[in-house]
Amino acid sequence: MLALKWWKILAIVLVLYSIIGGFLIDVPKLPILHETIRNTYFHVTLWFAMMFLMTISMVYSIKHLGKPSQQNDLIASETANIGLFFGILGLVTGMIWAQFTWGAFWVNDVKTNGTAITLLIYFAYTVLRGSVEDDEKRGRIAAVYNIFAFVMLVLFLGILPRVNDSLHPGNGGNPAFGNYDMDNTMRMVFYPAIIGYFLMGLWFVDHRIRLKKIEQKLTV
Amino acid sequence: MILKDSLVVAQHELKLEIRNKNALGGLILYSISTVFVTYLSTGGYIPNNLFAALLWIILLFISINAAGKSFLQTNNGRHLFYFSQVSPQAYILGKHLFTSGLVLVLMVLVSGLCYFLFSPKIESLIFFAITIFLGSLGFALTIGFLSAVAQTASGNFTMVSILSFPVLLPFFLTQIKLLNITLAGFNIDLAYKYIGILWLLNLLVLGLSYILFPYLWRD
Repeated sequence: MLALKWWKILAIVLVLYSIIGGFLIDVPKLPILHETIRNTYFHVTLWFAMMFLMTISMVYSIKHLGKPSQQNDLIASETANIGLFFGILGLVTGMIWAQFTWGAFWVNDVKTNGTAITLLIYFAYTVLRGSVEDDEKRGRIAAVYNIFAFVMLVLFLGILPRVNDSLHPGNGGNPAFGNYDMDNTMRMVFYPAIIGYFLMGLWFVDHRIRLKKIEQKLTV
Repeated sequence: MILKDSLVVAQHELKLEIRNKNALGGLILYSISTVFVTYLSTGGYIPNNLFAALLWIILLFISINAAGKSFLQTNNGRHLFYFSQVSPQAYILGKHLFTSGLVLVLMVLVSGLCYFLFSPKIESLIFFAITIFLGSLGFALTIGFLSAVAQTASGNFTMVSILSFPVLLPFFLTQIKLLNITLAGFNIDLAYKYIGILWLLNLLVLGLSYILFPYLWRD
């Protein structure tokens, strides 16, 4: 039975559009970047989607502390998992891009390090979840850590660029897909791509939650 | 009321720590030998930026050892005793007070020792001291709170390091920057900026642990 909700169809359409459009539509010619600017459509959008998912995870953690329920806990943990998955994808696309633009897969750059820390925090979150047996207790502890870590993370991502300069396009005088260089044709692919990947992430989350619920039914 | 209770808790913790001289002596010995091992393995002549990085790495490991135990040591019986006597907010504040005191003492000891052994040229001694003070506060608060999380989760020590390393990094990097400028190229505006960031981080951790700890406490 095909019961696709409208937002799932939208996710497919937008992601397909961003892939096809991302490779075919003309992009501005900038020094250093050249055609690699197309990575904006994948690398940057994946990370936007990741941050949205992590924010949802934090919101549901707060909800869980206020009114503990299995549903809130499931949403918080699965959005964090899928966010982690998007984070890894974003890291890989960024590393491939860096190899061709900066000449190395990993450079000591603030944004790169910021991502590494984001991933470490959420891996720690999964380890923490894995270490507790009791369901009720696991949800509570994980929620506490999630809120604490997310606030520190946001602060960190806010502070770090002010303490160091970044090699990333748009920082320290590098040509950018930032405010001035991204023209309107790029925006026409960029914003839909963010929405597309975000919806795609929600879809994954939806599946994982249903899977978890079926697993629970089978074990009980 | 909360403040008074937290003072009592801190006092109580201090008494227990002093009564258990082995643990305290062990911590001090651990700190001194770590510094000495670092001194011997680097030969004592190291550039400023390496000194700053090494000092903070030493301090990080010492504070993990000192503050990480703060909740792991507390057994269930004592937990229950506190539970019946004080509010969770007073308890976490008292614990914070005690661990920051402990970490501060150890940090002063370690950085003094490093100062004598490595004899770095420090441009602004006052700001060096402020850096150490703010750093000890930040490490103690963060690790102390996360040790409470680890204690409720599984009660093993590895969990404390897994949880706290990534979260400590904002402190860590800002402190290294601040230490670097107190060592060379001192710039008062930049120093104030970093000190402001450190205060902000400290207050945030304090606030978060104050709000979140009651949820861990319900066991």
